[in-house]
Amino acid sequence: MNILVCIKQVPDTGTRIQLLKEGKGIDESGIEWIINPYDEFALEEALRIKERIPNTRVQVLSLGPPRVEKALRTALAMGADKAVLIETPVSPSSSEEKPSLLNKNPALVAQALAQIISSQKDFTSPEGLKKASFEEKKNPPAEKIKWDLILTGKVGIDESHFATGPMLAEKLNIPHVGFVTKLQEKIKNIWLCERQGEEGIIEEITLHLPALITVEKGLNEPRYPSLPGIMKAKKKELKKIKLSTLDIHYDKQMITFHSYQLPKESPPPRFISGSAEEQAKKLIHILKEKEKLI
Amino acid sequence: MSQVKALISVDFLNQQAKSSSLDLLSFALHQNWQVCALCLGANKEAIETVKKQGAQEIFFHPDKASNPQNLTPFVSGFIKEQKPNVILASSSSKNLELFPRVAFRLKLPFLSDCLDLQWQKDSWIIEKSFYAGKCQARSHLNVLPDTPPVVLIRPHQVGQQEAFTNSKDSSVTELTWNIPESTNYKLVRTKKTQKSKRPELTEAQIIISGGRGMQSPENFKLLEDLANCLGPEVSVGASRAVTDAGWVPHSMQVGQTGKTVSPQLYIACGISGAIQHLAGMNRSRIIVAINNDPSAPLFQKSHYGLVGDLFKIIPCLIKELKQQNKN
Ligand SMILES: Cc1cc2nc3c(=O)[nH]c(=O)nc-3n(C[C@H](O)[C@H](O)[C@H](O)COP(=O)(O)OP(=O)(O)OC[C@H]3O[C@@H](n4cnc5c(N)ncnc54)[C@H](O)[C@@H]3O)c2cc1C
Repeated sequence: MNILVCIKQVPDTGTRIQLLKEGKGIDESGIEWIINPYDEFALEEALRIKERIPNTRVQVLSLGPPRVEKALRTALAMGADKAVLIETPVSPSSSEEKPSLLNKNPALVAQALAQIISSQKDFTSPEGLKKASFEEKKNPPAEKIKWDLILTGKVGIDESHFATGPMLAEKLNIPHVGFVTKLQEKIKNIWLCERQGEEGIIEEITLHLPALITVEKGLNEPRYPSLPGIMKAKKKELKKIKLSTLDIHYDKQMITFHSYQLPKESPPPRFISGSAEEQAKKLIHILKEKEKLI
Repeated sequence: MSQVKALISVDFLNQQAKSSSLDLLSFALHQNWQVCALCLGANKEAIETVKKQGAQEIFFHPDKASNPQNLTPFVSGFIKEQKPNVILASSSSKNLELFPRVAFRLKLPFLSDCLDLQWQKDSWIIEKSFYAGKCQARSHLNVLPDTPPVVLIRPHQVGQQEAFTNSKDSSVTELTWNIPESTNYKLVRTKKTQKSKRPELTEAQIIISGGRGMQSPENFKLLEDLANCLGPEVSVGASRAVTDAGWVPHSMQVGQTGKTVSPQLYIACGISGAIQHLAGMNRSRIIVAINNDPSAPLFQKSHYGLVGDLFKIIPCLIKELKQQNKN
């Protein structure tokens, strides 16, 4: 089977976010970049399926500036067969403002990913892609998609949209299940997913492929790339397609952000001293009488 | 524009409107917006609370179609009919599955994990959280005709005023959607993993969280006991050190790669306060840290700090609360 994993490169979770002057955005200098942890679960799951089911190919797809190549090399080193990068310019120059909108607009990312996914041609001819306009390909019939399964994380931990996966599924006109913590093939093309709902409720869903799944923590523990894996990855195919060759509709869905702010500095804590018993009594008194919380 | 019309999608649990949704209703009504409540998966009795909250128009559909793909055309059609100026819902996992599809289908701006929303001079000013709370930013949306933004708001960020008393009766309509059975998606069954009836972490008003300092899974019973003394609106959370060790389920993890929470009260027991943990809880109204290491970073983000052994302090808290509950 053919599995596509959509991954995003995000700042390491240990990053202390710094803002640009006047809160215009986030200062990216000095940031360590990693694969979005939820996308890593998605990739790990794809690799485990590949190990279980013969003739499975795993391709990773990402969108972003050239630095994202590193994330894709890591994915190849973990065991993916091929990688595709939809490359955006390094820094959004004045003439080319639009790529910077991609980050804040999952609808645009979904359009770009869908265009690569539903193109039946090989990726060598971006011109061919451009000709088959995006509008004509609206809601392609499911059987045209050569992917059996599309996996991605439930959310990018940077922008926290929770939207790219479901939007991509809507674009491709295929079903999707989100927040998946368990995934298992029942019979060919019918998979059983466990979805983490709220209030501790788990839903079991059977899903016919082709379909898209967004994954939740708890699905698996991602592997580290092995040394031989890293060596092999250097020879694997990593295809780059310029975003400008795709046909993206920048329309009214567009959102921009300004006035970035860090959380308010908290005042120094009030320490409550005494024996354990005294501490407990004082705390309860404060929460009750002063804060009126309990 | 005259009066703003807000379409609010209300979440239900066991045929009760969730408090996060009631917050949204009261928020919108207090802004003097006209409120149209969309109640999916609710029966006639369930919508009583929505009525009481003061929504002018209520639409309900008893079926909770589980497949977001199948529900999308119906909700999209409803939005087109209703022509609201904004679509609001809480950032629950169900809404995060349905509304991105709806927004994409209708080409509407979509924003999730939002903290605030204001209507000013014919445009929306929306505050959204990034990096699970490490920073936030503002968006100005000039509203075009027929392009209402879809805004999913983090629970308990807006509203929480008193119920709005509407002088007029709400109009109630049962939707006659004929949602087809999915052939490609079937909900087989649901199971409950936790026995207790605690609210979802993101919805809870009070959270007691435990970290590696709890020392073993068994000791989480102590936190459960403390939660029980504090009432039904209390949930128990954890740090990643604890969920990764398998002491408690992953669904209990608070932080950048877990749940982002903003309760009224967050009590952290034996949690050091790593940057990833702080990201997920720094918007809690009051933070209390209990830790035997006075240099634990979490203290610097806390309002109240108790330096000491949690195994001594928590039993005293339980004893004291039990005493007071008795009186
Ligand atoms: C990619 C990535 C994502 C991550 N995401 C998250 C996330 O979402 N959420 C999260 O929480 N972490 C996350 N982490 C992990 C994070 O970096 C920390 O490792 C973790 O939060 C530490 O958990 P802890 O505070 O429970 O444990 P520790 O850091 O070990 O702290 C335990 C604390 O307990 C105190 N203690 C010990 N005994 C007692 C006692 N008897 N009484 C009182 N206090 C006591 C100690 O003084 C110490 O401060 C992530 C890490 C990575 C790499």
